Amino acid sequence: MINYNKLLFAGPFGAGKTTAIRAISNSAPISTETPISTGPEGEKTTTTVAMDYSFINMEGTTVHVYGMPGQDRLAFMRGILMEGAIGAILLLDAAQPSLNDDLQSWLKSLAALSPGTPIVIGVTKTELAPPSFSLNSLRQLVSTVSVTSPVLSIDAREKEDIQQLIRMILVLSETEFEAGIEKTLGYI
Amino acid sequence: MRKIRISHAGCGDSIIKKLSMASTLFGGRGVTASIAPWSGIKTDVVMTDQSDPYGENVSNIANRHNIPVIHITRSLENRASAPGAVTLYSDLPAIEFLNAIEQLLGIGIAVEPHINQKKAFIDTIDPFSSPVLSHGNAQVFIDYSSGVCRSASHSDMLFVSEAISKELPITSHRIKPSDLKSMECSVSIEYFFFSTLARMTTIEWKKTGPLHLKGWPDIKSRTYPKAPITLATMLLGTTKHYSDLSLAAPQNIVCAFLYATYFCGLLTIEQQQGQQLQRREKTLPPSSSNVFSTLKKWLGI
Repeated sequence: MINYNKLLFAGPFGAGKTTAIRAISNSAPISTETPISTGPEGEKTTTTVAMDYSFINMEGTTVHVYGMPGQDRLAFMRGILMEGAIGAILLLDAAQPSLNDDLQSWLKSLAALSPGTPIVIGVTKTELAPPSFSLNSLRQLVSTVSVTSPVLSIDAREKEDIQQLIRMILVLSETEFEAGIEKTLGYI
Repeated sequence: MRKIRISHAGCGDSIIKKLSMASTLFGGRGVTASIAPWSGIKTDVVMTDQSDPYGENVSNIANRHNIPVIHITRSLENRASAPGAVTLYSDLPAIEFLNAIEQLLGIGIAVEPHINQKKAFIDTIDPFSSPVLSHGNAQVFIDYSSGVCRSASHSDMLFVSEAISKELPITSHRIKPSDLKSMECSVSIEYFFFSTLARMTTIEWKKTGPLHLKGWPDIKSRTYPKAPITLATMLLGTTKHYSDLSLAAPQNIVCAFLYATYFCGLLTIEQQQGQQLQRREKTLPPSSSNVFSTLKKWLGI
């Protein structure tokens, strides 16, 4: 697979994708944020209508960071963005009643768009989650779709939290790489 | 140094002055006390004047939230106290105010370090029974079924965490449904125990048997960002002995990770007898592209 040095942030509307990209970027992200047509939803007043783009510059190497639009009507963008990605970070809003449904639909969608691409899951806004919030339920749901995807509760505003998700993507990439080598050599 | 928050409601200037003097005396007990007018339930103890309607109202709110209350009374006759409350005559000296707060929060006992408390805590805690761990009036509910720890505030969680790591007395009891309503702050069980136990330098892993991780733990640490991932990678999909992990991180971090993942149910300890231990060394492969090594450098891996 061609590697375009791309890192993707996926997830439903309001999960914190744009915020996470801002947290790790070297410069202000190029964003396609527009006011929500139906008016503000809580503290959220804008939404991404095509994608967010930014980059991380590391000693001459650039990693391109893309944020997928969260709305279903813009789902056609996801396949285009997913191509050649190092991995995808799926962000989910723990405060949403649709958390479990969002997890399943997004995870299935991402896994179908690019099988084998490492996916890690960041759960945001856990401090606003209802008492019924269960990390174990999320883990169980994840295991039915993607056994290897870790679930980490994070604050999308914190650079260190986002970096931890990227660390996990790298570990998963190496595991995939290792599994591929073993398969080639006939160990599995 | 332990910090306590004292609120007052409906009290006159002379009472607040005595309260301030009492808070200064707390310094000698190794406790920092902050005093402020009542502004909500995020307080450790509240002092109210029973003759004042506002003070009485605040007393009722505090009772509903199990916050210890000191009732100030101007009558020597009225000295009866309900559980979780102390009634003080307004003309008593400031030292009596100090004693009353100590009595309510158990500070005199709490500041005494308990020798071997750490061992007792690690060995005796049963997170699988979903206990509430308490220190003072701070509580953390280990909700084993959902995989998260819950408390009324982050400061309560930190307070209990610090008490565990400093080997102070921790009590364990069953959750009351009324307590659960106010526990709106949550973190994963493994994150709570990892961040708590990683601060202990003398922690030891006493369990025996090969170790295996069933899933990725939800642990992030600013101080040790790499260790949880390294250890998880070593234990996922394979079985290792404790000694195999010794080079991956400092011993106390390995122990903290193992206890944290064991307490949340992700770590299984297999029976050693009659089992062939699967040892598959996970050597890191060469990076598949330059961007991986650059990213790793950026992340400090």
